Amino acid sequence: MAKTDFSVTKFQITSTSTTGAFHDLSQYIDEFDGLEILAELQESHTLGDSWAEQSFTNFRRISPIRIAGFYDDVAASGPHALLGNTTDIGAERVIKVNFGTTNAYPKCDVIVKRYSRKPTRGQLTRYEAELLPTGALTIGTT
Amino acid sequence: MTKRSAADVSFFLIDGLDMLGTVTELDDRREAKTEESHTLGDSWAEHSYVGNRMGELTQQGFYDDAAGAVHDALSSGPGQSRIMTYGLEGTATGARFVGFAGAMEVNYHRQVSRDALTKAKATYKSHGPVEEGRLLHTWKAAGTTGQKASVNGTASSTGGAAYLQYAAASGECNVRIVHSSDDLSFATLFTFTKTSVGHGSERLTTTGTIERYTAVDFTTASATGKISVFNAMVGLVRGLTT
Repeated sequence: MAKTDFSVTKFQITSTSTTGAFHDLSQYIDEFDGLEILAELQESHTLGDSWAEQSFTNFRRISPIRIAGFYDDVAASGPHALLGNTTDIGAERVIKVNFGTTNAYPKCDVIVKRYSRKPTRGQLTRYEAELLPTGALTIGTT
Repeated sequence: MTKRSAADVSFFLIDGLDMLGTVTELDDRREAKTEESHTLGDSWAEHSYVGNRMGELTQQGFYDDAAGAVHDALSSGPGQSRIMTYGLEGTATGARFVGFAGAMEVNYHRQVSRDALTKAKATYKSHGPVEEGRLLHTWKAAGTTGQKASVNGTASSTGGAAYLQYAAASGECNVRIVHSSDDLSFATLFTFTKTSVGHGSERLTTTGTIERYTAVDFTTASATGKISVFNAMVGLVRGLTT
């Protein structure tokens, strides 16, 4: 059993559609909200019950994924090149995240929902992107 | 690989008014409109892009009541849609800039606090495309007449948009964007409306081909025109969006 940390986390995203090559964005991310999977529940207690009961609806969703870091204008492989063009907003991509476990990558399709740049006095300009998962989460080995 | 800092923000213009001197933070967001699209039988949530994007920009900074400063730019603005441009990658010709074809000013907020300078904030929502292009002339005095240094891009056939922001203390100016396939023989691509005293902005579009090399050309509109007191920002976006 081994704990892992930020230093072994790797975040990759495809560059075009859902079949393009993966690009490693790790070096451009210093904030990552993680991957949250939710089970949709429905209250199922009935007359006579004095405690709330929940039932799984057999439906799951993945919460929106937020990544952020320093804005970088590097061509082809940086955050702006992959997420910041007009045509990227609304486009579908695939992400895979390695949290440190060898050959086990949570993968899902996402839509680039939101991208922002923020120049602030006295600071490096930052970017932030929100990726909206669509469809199932799978655990891949590549 | 180049990170950028606040020092690289080269201009922030609304209808020819420069607000960079009072702004301490900009937050530029683009968003895709989506809708949940999973159906009966699906066990995972699905989302689909509905084909519509929006932009939102927020500015924060100091209140300034000088002529042509932030209060002048924003006080009559709420409800108005104006052309906005800003650059956060320096002043070099060819650097990227962002253009809002229409920035609808949603609010203007003056905040007074004890022991602090009065602040001014505003939020804009996009009214039309939010585009990214290349500078042909950064926000500065046009200097002498004539064609300026060209930008070497990639020839395109998907149209584009041209942005002009200007402020003129006197005189008039004709501003053109020209293009060329060989950086030797140039033809007119866009001709902006002749400028006049005061400030203004204009966006023009084309659906045709844009050659590889593009440049801006300034000419005086009359014998007494003085473009030495004429500040202008000119930029070109390849690929027309609507």
